[in-house]
Amino acid sequence: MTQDISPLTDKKSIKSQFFIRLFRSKTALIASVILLLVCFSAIFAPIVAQKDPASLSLMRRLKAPGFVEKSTNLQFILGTDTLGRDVFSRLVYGARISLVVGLSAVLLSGTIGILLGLIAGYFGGVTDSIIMRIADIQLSFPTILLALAIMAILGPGLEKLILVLGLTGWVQYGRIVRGQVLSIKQEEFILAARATGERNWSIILQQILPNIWSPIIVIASFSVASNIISEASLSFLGVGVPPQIPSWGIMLSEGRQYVGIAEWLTIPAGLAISFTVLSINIIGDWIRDYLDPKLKNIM
Amino acid sequence: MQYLIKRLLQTIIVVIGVSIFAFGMTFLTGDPTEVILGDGADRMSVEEINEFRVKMGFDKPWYVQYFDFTWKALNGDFGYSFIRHKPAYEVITERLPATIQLAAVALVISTVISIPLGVISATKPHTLIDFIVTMIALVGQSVPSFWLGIIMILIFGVYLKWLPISGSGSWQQLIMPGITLAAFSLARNMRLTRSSMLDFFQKDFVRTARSKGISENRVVYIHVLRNSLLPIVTAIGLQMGYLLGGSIITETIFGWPGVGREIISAINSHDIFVVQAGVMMLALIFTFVNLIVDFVYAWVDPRIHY
Amino acid sequence: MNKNILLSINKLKLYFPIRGGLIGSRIKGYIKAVDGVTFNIYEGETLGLVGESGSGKTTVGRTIIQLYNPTDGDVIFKGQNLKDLKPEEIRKSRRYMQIIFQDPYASLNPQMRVSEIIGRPLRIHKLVTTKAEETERVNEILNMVGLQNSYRDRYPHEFSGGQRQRIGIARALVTKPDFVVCDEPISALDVSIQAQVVNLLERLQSELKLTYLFIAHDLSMIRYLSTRVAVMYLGKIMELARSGDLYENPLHPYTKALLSAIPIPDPILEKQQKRILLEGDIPNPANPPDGCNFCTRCPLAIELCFKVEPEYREVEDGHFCACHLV
Repeated sequence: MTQDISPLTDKKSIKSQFFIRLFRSKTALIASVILLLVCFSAIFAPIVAQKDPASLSLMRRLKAPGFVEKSTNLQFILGTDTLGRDVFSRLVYGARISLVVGLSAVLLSGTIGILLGLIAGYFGGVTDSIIMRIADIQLSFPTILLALAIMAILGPGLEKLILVLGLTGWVQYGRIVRGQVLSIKQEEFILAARATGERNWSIILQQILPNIWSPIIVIASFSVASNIISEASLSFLGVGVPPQIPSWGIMLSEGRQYVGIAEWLTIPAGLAISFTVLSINIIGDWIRDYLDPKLKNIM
Repeated sequence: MQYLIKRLLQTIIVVIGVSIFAFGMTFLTGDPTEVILGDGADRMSVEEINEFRVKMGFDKPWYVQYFDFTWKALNGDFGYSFIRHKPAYEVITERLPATIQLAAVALVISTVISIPLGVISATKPHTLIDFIVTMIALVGQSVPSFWLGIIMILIFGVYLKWLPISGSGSWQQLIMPGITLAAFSLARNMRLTRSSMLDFFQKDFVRTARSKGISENRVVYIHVLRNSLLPIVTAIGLQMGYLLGGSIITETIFGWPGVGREIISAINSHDIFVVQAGVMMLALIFTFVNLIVDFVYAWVDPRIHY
Repeated sequence: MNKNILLSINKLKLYFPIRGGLIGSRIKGYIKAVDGVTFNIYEGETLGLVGESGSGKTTVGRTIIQLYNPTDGDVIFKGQNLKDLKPEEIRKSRRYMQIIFQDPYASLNPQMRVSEIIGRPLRIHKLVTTKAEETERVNEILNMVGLQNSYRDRYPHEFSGGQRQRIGIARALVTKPDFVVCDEPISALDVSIQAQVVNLLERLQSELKLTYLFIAHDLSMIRYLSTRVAVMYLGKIMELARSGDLYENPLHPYTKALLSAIPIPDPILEKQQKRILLEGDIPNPANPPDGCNFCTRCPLAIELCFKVEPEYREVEDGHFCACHLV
């Protein structure tokens, strides 16, 4: 059998291809570095911040950046806030909150969305109609509004926020997954799987799912960014994370009244959010281009 | 025609869903009485709380309450605002024009700036202009709108003192909120216009047009832009949702007297009926705008027939 | 050749509903893809099934192995009427009846390695208990279809069409089925590869004692491969006979027309060949004619043909036909 075979492409060389292409794009590289910094700060917050973000002292409230407390000789590189807390520490711990919320919410909404999308797409029928109707109803609310309304009633809370963001964000996954399943369902290898006697869920999870990861990953990466902004927005409005927890959104809402007087309360937090989200968006773009240029129309 | 009917039916189902949600909002913690009374409940005796409950009709079974709710809603009765001492419906409707004004201005700013810039960027890809535009777009999509608002207040309001930082009435007061609200959509539309047009440039019919000797300008504007407008129009329609949601934040920052700001202050003062009415109003507007956008889309695109 | 009946198909029907209405609930009519098909398949034989596109031959194959649920009729496999089986039992019986698909580019999951594709059926039907056993069985079947063991870790896109088809064959045969539907397995391959695959299928049939339902539209290939041949038109069988009998002595006008269209390698004989050209339109499968399905195009049709459907009966020993003129 001397037929032409295309060169062996084992999984190892695919991984190295990934990094080679990553390094080629300078913007993506810079974005990755920034993101890594943020992650590092979040994970190793105590080391990076070296201070307790909650420790307050009215004696040193609203001090400008560079302030050194005489009694303790502590440096406050970004100054202190209205309760005398170290702005820099709060910034660093705020990274934790943003990432935790961003990632957890994506995990939750992704899981729900993928599952419902798989069920709706594969089994069709009444289940499909019901799921799609629920999706439509949810989409008829602007997302922030929906999350806002629910959080308003429930009151601020970290877990509640993650739950709400997760429950409201599943639709984008659900739709894409359903569409993908519908088109793959017709493929002959799925028919072959049924002919072999494979059970439905085995087909769904082991045959169909591996073929539809690309758009899911793209949506997930952009989702993390939008969840971070949602958390910040909702916390800013007072219905996100409880005020004791250091969140970039809360920092902005507290600092808002001092615009013109104490800019260090608002500028660092805002920059943090912007750069984090920007980096994620850049990397998300890059991932999308890497996985499949045809996906451009989804976002 | 069938498509329109389908869409209408869908809208009706959605409206019902919205009403169920708005109604169900008060039940999220189990007892609507608690939600309304909030902290005040601590100061009341059990009898007073129960009295209140009966007075408000919360002791009745839920389906009766839902029926009451819908019936009253259809008559424009959304309950009473304890804070403003007016029917909730009035509280919302008198602030609606302000929100719509803001959203409309934002929509115009967004569209008017994003499409030309997107076109320029698409016609001169990979040049400096393109790079700048793309960067602005990326940044616009990443910067949280409320921070943008704060920064603008800082720069234009406090430092430069060019623009007023709150209130409404004059066109100067519209500028900053308008831009803040428009920022995200603007950025998104720019990128969408650019990528949509670039896609079309690849298509065969453009090559044909060019080889026929049609001037580049004509190719760009008539052939490519017209076609790429369709996905852009859809996107703009979809952005109404974002604008309505974003107005809440923008209005809060700039003290713009619209529905959004009212909802926030109602949340903070536990004025539950106002929150309910406001949420429902915004959702309904959004739903109908979507319906209209879909119809326009179906009318414009000859290929759609469901 | 054994005279034991492996499969008995009796008045099999498969109708596809045509839906209309606002929610798609109203049924406007049916496409009668398979409209009352009856025949037996004997152990060890290759039953060829020919017909033009839309004749229902692919649907028959898929319906027999229950990939589609029959609208009516019986499929009796090894004495067991599949209608009486519960879905789980049908699922279990799949290891004995398999199918090879036409398109080697679509019938293999692009995200799975060859070893996984071929190994799955073994695991699904619990035919192996250890990984080592599975590897051994997979290697065994790989070799049987002429592929090297080293190919197990590769992905489908690394192979040519012919090789992919071999993988498909391996997958179908790994559970050692009794009955295999070959759904135009060579139509999508290059002509030079076709002969190789056909030879492979023949060899495997004798090695593994398989019974084939071989669906195709290439009449000359069918003649070479099949013990008996059935001709389908618009969901019904027009004629069924032993291979030699059908080609030497075709009874049905449709069969005659098909055979006359086969090109003859000898140019002189080819020139002398009289072709029967069919005129007229193919009827709508949702609305077949009242009488014989073929009446609109049959050059020999008489009035009876338009009114009464001809009976499918055994005209000579082992030679069945559905035509009023026979």
